[in-house]
Amino acid sequence: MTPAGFDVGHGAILGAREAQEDEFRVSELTSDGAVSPIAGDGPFTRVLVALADGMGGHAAGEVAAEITSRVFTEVAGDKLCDAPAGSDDAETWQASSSDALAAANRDVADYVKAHPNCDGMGATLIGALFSPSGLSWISIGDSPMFLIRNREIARVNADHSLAPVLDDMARAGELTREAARRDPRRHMLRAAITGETLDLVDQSARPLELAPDDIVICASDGIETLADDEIMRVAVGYRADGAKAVAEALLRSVENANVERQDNASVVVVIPWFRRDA
Amino acid sequence: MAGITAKQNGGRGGSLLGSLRDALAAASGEESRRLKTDAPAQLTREPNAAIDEAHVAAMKDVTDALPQAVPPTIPASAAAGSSVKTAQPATAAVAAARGDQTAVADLTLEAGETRKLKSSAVRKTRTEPVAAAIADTDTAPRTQIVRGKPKLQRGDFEQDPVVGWLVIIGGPGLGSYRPIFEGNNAVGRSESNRIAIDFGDESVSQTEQAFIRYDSADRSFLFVPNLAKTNVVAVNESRPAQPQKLKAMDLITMGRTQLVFVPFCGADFDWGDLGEIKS
Repeated sequence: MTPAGFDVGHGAILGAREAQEDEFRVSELTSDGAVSPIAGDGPFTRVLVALADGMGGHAAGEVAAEITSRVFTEVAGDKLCDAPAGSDDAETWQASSSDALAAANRDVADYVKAHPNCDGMGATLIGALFSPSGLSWISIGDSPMFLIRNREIARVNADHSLAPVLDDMARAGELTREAARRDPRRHMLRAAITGETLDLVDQSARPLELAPDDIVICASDGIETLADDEIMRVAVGYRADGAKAVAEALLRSVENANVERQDNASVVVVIPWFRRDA
Repeated sequence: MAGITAKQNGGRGGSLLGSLRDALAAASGEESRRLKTDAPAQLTREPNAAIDEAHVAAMKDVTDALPQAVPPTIPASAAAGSSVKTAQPATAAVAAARGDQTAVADLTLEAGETRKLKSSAVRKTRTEPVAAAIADTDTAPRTQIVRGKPKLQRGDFEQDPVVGWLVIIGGPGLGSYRPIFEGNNAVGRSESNRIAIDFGDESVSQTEQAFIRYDSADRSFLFVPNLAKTNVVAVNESRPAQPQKLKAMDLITMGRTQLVFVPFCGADFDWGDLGEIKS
């Protein structure tokens, strides 16, 4: 089944941090080949999301996240729009998203070269294209993207933090589950856009087909204050009110959890629309 | 399966951008692909002399060791069949998009075997560099890769947690009750409504006669009439034309059915409290 369009909602909270180091861009790819920030209520036929969670002291994290989301959007958006008419978004995505990621990484590298005190800055990235063929993505870092379907929640992209490694150690009996869960290393990143070699990149092999009642959530890891089940519960509860309501409810739940040192949290919620007669 | 092979080699089976993927991907949400460090030349830059060499080396070791350590996490439940109810549950759909493999159950098995075979061999190579990397991040200037924060663990709900009830005290269905859940609850006669008043009162709208919302942020219940419907709705004696707060034992009349509102969550309790108690 082909989605007729996408309902999009988004938002961000500062948490207990002093600066917002998350940055995201949600753009509409229009039929006349323009890439423009989404405006109005939609639905939108093709949506490009670039969500980055920056890191690095002082303003560096903000800069890295800004460069990453901006450059990725510009390069991927242009390439997707420039593709010959009738070409499949899914095929264009493989090359355009890789190129856009490389471009963002290069720009971060250039910035660090010009500002040596920013060395070590970086950002995660979720790049996602919502089109009639479904959801295509590219991702690096630990920012999660979830698919909620039939009361089941699944993480779509890879987690490049140490958490999966620790969980595996627990499974192999090298750690207790509790120790693995509490380990501060869980949030260490194995990969990010830092201007250096990209060691790990996760990219969809083919678009994920979307179905009626699906909810897709792209977020920074600040959302993980909420357990997966809770994310699902809130998202399903507010689904009927639209993507905007889901985004707001998720952020409110994070704030409500009142976690000390709550990280920045950003969410982009996308709900596919289908024609009734489809 | 090429992907499996890559994984047995510790993910170092040579993956080029856009071609090969790690089989592990099949639903685990783990790295599907590891770029060879020399693959995209344009991504590399000269290492900055200021970077702590040892730190970089340690992190490299960590990332090298990691792909071996990556387990399938989600498919266990998916393969067990308990959560696979339809042709394309979320995990299966994700798995399909992640790799070229088709049989999720097969993959799970194979991944499981792989893990068993390897767990002893992996043990030696992994712990050391991880520990080294940690120790390093304590002192290294690039502390940004440690992103510690507490994570709340909540119990798993068997179903949507109930936040209150509507008890039918008049009309068809007398004596029955319907649970109210967090968020928005449509009230109507058809079963598609979250709160289905399906006891045969034809004067209740088929769909969305009204909405009852519970907002866990301010722990309040709101009754929202659907003004597009002409059927009679009243809260206590009034006919609300706009959202209004519900309080315990409010009487809601829809058609020929009378319901009493009984809150469970509110000032004294919210499901969110449990998480705080546990952690």
